[in-house]
Amino acid sequence: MALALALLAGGASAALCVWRSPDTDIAEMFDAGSYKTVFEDIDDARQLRIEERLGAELDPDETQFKFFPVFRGEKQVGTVMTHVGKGQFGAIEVVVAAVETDSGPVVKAVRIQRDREKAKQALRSDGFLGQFRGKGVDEPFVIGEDLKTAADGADVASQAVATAVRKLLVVYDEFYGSGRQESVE
Amino acid sequence: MKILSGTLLLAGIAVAAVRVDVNGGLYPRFLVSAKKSSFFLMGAEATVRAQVTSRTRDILTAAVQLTAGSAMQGWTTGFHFGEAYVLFPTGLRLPTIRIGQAVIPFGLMADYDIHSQIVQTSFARSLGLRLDPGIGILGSLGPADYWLWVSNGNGPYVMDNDVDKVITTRIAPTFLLGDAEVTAGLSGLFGSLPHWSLDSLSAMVSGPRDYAAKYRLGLDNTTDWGPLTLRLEGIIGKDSTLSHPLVFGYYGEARYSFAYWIQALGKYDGWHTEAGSARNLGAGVNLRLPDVSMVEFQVLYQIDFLNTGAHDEQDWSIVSQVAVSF
Repeated sequence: MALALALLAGGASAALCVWRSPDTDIAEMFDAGSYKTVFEDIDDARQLRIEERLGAELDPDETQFKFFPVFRGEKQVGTVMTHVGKGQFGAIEVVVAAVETDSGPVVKAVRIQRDREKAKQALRSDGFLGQFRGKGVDEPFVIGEDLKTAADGADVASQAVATAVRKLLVVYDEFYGSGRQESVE
Repeated sequence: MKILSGTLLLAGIAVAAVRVDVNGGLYPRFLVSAKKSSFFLMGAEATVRAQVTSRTRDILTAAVQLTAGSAMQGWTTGFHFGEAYVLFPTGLRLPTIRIGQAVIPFGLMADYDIHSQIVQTSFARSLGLRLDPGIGILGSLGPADYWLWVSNGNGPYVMDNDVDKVITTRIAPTFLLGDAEVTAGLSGLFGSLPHWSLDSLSAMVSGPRDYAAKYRLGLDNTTDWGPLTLRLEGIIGKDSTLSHPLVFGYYGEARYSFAYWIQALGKYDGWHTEAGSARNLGAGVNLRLPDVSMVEFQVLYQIDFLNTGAHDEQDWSIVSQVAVSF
């Protein structure tokens, strides 16, 4: 199903990663009933704010991001986001589920859709991905300091996942969280 | 690039949001062979995508592939240009309905988008087309994706010239096997499709002169094992009637990624009938710019073998391409 949607992704940029298994992911992450697709464009001002918060530049092709608000009945229970990170040997497709809390968005779950890394099992294990659960947008995401690497020799891939998760949280916050309110003010 | 977004109103109540985006692709190539050398534009295209959503769910997604130009001619143009379809999701854990012109979901084609690649799977010789107008469903059942597609068998932008239809099904579970992610697909297809003998493959560009009932059974496999990606496909079938001799084909491809930005690949495929065989052997390199995933440089050296009663040929070529998506 994902590849049927590949054409729709058009410019196949890092930020417009296809969501390959919405049925399974939503059932396991939210036990919810529906989702919709929302595209958001990154304008110059927002790009500067995001880059300032990340401490790094967005890639030239990161001009749009996709969000998937998830609903149980009429109530939104969270948001899923997807991103293509740069692993050691190829792209790593990361899925992040976030929920709103009083202190801002936090990670509910992280999944790897596809990767070409040697430590595939370790990278997808709860021992590694479970570390992100409950992490907030302003927390550090540094492998070797705040987070453990997935496996020996997998530091590049582990950091690629961590960077993708943090980037999605910051972008989410800029569009729907406190970042948005600050930009309005 | 967003070109339109808005909200549909019915009796003053917002019922749906609409967003339209346009993306583009550009594929300039250079080819060298024993007979010629040429710069040419493999394709310049745009994809218009419309997303219609209600407050809580996607209602439909429509996509139209618009061709600005291509050096491809005649029948073979329809291998790569003409995707235009609507997807209607019916809900979580339920199938998505697809209507329009789309890739026939047989074998690797269902999962492997070779549109922007130099390497091609064996669809041209095994099926005779890639895009076809029709209706179908696709979705997921646990770890398995599934497809059912009923189409004309005449290629894009053509009315059906008979009452026969082509029915294609595929089911493909994906699972982890150690540090390898494995997708194993089982496909079946039957129906009236364009037919070329091995000796007339070079005339494919002028379109089909006859059609045949084709029966195909395919097994395919995609394995991501660290930096190594393997794609394998085996097809057996019959043309015209079940009493005719078996035809069969195979496709094998290996890609090894040395780093994020560079990978080497090799492929070998063949199609065998009672008249002989047509095979292709290729090796190449794909390179990406370090921070720009929208540009890929590709080079492929390939040798085509044609061995029939009338031909015993071997042609080499080197094709390079810059694939740009924006």
